Amino acid sequence: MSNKIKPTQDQINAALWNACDTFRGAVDSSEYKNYILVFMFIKYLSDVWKDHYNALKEQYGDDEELIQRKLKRERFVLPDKCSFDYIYEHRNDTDIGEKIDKIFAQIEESNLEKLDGVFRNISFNSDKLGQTKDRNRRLKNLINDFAKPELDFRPSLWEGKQDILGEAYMYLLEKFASGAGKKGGEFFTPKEVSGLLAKLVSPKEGDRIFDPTCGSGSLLIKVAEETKDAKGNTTNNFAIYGQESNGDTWALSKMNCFLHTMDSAQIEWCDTINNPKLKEGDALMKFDIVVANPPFSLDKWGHENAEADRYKRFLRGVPPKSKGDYAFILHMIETTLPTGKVGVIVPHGVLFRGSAEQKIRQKLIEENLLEAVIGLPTNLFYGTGIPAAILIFNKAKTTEDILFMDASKEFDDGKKQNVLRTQDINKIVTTYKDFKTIEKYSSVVKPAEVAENDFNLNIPRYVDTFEEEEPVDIAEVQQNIEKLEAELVEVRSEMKKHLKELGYE
Amino acid sequence: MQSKIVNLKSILIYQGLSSGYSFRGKIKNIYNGGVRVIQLKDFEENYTYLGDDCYFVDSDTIKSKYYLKTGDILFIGKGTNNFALVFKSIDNLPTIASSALFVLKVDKNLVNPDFIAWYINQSEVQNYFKTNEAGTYNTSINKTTLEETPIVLPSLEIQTKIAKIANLHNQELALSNKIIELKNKLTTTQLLNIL
Repeated sequence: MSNKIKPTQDQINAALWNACDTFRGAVDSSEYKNYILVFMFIKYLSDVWKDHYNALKEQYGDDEELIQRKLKRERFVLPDKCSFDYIYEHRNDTDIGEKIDKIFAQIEESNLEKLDGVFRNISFNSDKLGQTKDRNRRLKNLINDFAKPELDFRPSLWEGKQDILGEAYMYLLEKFASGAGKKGGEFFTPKEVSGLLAKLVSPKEGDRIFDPTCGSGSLLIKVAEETKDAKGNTTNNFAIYGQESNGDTWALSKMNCFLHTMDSAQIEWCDTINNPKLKEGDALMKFDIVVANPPFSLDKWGHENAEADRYKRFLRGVPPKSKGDYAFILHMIETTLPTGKVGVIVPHGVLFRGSAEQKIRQKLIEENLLEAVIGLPTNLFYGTGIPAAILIFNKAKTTEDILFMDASKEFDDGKKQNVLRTQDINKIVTTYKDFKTIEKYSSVVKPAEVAENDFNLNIPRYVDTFEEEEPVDIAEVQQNIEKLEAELVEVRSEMKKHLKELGYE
Repeated sequence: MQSKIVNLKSILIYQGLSSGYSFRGKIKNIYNGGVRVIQLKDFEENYTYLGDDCYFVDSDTIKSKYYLKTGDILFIGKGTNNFALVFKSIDNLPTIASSALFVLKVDKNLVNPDFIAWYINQSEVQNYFKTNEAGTYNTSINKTTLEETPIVLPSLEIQTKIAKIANLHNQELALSNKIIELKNKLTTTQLLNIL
């Protein structure tokens, strides 16, 4: 406990972002983000371990055996010679990449229950990081960067404020997402949007929360953090579940949960549609709250197996081969308890595309599952500028009506992306809770009206946001024209006069 | 009197060339702000008039040396349209130019600012800018280039006359455009009313 300086969130974020410079140019950002985030996680484990070791040492003195026994019961067990300090001491070794890999394998081994597979896809001894000499130089830089005092993650420094680390992790994810171009949306939902969705589904104490396409887990964690008890206070009494098909991203989501101290999160790695992993016996596991930001209109989502789906998720109709949106929606609905809610972010095509998708929509509305359709502003997401909508399904709806909301006009236009402001989010949430018609913003619609519109959910059909044109006063306009024409004559004659003076006839 | 050719630099008053106020980041319109900001978007009618929906910003941080005076020439230094326009005080509110603009203060004993602005907009000078602009995609005119701009200078009397006619011509164009616009509206309404 030599230095007690406490860096701010911004300083930590900046230090982490700077650490990425080591890899820039040599490795693509979609690759090096894994290295940075994994390293951050290891540094965290190591710092926590060191902190607890010191605390125990203070308590029990030199009884090393007792200390070791106590440490065995830690959240994460760090084997001997696996700490960051050990890596730091050996930063000049020629086989440092291999050493780090071995350490990771050992850490995984000692925490199999929690970390099984998390470091599977990452190797610090890989040629991806350059040839041996370059690689060693880069790794040394990286180790030095993480040894900076700003990146001291010892909990005793933070006085229990763990969320700073989680925030920093999210910050990095967001930075990577915004830099990754088209691929960015694959693993990260902007925090304003996930915050909005969290408020809309408002989980209660004891709820089971599930995200079938959880990416790096940002949406899932945001929703979990929104859990309130009966009195409206934030509570930790929830259970979160997720599934993600990309192995690298899955590892990111695991670490994300640990850094947010949501250790009990159950996150599986596999394709949700073709191989749902969260099951109870032979049936799909059911949840109170299901949220997702599934890939927009995914091609080749597994249409060929859908008809004979053993979980009978597609009885309402099989979504088209090249547009997987409804496959995810139906999966979400099937995994929701009869009292549960679904919140899903979809592209606008989901609202109005015809044929198979229209039939599915019709079924969903006839079963009175759809509760709200909320149109969002354009350009909110990473990698795509298209506007999206949020659909809320409620299995325990108290009314037949459906709420349509056009929230697409209220946002702050940022440099790269548009951003929902707090007031915009609050307006959406309040309107949803009140379930009221607000002129030019929202409309409560009877299912009969939706049926009249052939189950087309396109928002402008129900929410009229057209500005009326001002009525034109013909006489006044005529007068204006005459006045202007008179002025014009005057101007022309004056011009003529001046031109004459300069010698032009 | 024969016209002579001079550098733009030689007809400026002392410290007569400065760039507009450089905001750090985006300019946000503040309701009830004390200072009007002229940006590129405010140039209307083919860069001949300033529109009346300029942004306003808080006045505390901006020094009064940035305030524009009637007769200051605003020159668009950034982008492909490097035109000039003479600023005329709109009301008594302090007004500043944004950083994309250069502010030229000329010696009114030598030249007529309206004439200079008009002359800068003519093909001779525009061609000079095209050959001397900097940048590849977003081009800009730098300060030295602007200072070296060759200006043909007739007598002050002729300058005034030319400026006068040029202004009238601009007025003529603006009026014509306005008339066309109104006629458009009128006819459309009349026809729609028949339905």
